[in-house]
Amino acid sequence: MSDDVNVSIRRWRDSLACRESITTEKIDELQDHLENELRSVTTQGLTPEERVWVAAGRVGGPAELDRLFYEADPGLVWRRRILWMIVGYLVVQLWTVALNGLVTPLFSNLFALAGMERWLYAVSFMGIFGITIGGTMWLLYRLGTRGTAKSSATFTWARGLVVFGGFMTGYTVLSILCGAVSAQVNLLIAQGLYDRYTVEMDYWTWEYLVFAWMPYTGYWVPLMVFGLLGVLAWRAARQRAVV
Amino acid sequence: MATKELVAASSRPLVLSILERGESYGYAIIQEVKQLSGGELQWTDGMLYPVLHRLEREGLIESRWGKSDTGRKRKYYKLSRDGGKALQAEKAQWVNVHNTLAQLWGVKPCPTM
Repeated sequence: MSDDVNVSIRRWRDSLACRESITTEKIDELQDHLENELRSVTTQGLTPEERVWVAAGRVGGPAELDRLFYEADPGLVWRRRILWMIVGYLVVQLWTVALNGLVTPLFSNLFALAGMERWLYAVSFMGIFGITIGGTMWLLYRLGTRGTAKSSATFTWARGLVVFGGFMTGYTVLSILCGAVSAQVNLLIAQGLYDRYTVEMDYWTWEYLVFAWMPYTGYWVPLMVFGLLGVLAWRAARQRAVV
Repeated sequence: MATKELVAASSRPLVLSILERGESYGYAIIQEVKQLSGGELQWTDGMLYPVLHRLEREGLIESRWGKSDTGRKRKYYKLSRDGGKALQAEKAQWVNVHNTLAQLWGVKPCPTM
């Protein structure tokens, strides 16, 4: 088959790959069908691109196929989304272990030795978390889009980033709220049980919330930014791939 | 020409019946339907695949990846044991509908038929 036809087929595959319910295996199967159709449109004096376009029209548009496949198996889309969420969760958990085990002790000791002020300490950690998590996300993003702007890999990675970024943002915001609530509840329980603790610190003051949680904005802001980049890459690729 | 709804409703017994004759793949199934119906049943080709996948999930047909005569990757389907039973049930239903209509039209035949 000529190169022109292969390029057109590749583009057609991309137009399907950015649909959530159409997996690579389904595309392979549809490609066999498309190539069979192609053989019946060879003799009409069309350019290779036009031939693929005609054959693709017979197979059906990406939006319609997506809808039909979704109706045939609605659970698939969610199974894939949840898979990405779990992957994202594990990656971030691994990073948290690395940060808590190495980076945080190292820098907190350094900062303490330097006699750093409280606000500068919080800002510095925000920066450190931001650089490490942001760097990881950037690497993932580069891996997903590098040199493969026209291949299905882009869609998979972009889609992964969208779900992963969204999930982690929600997860982090929730853990901040839960952390504050549980700290307050623990304090109240301790007071009630032993009647010996006095409230030295109110967990609901702005001061506490800002200083305790500011470092973590370095954590979830990059996640949100790259989640957004994922959405943009996905949309751009989808528009480019419209057959 | 059959309506979209009728085409959709008949896709299931059609696919099962074709696969009862032996293993086949998407493109060949569609060609067979077109040929048998004399072009009266017009499918958007892509429509067949979700039907095949649904039947497979229900355990009525089985699939395997093979190669076409030109060496391309191709997915083949065949009827399973459950599929055979499901086909018998489908046949009974469709014959029933057919007989009912035939009796009605036997009394007052449609002039174009």
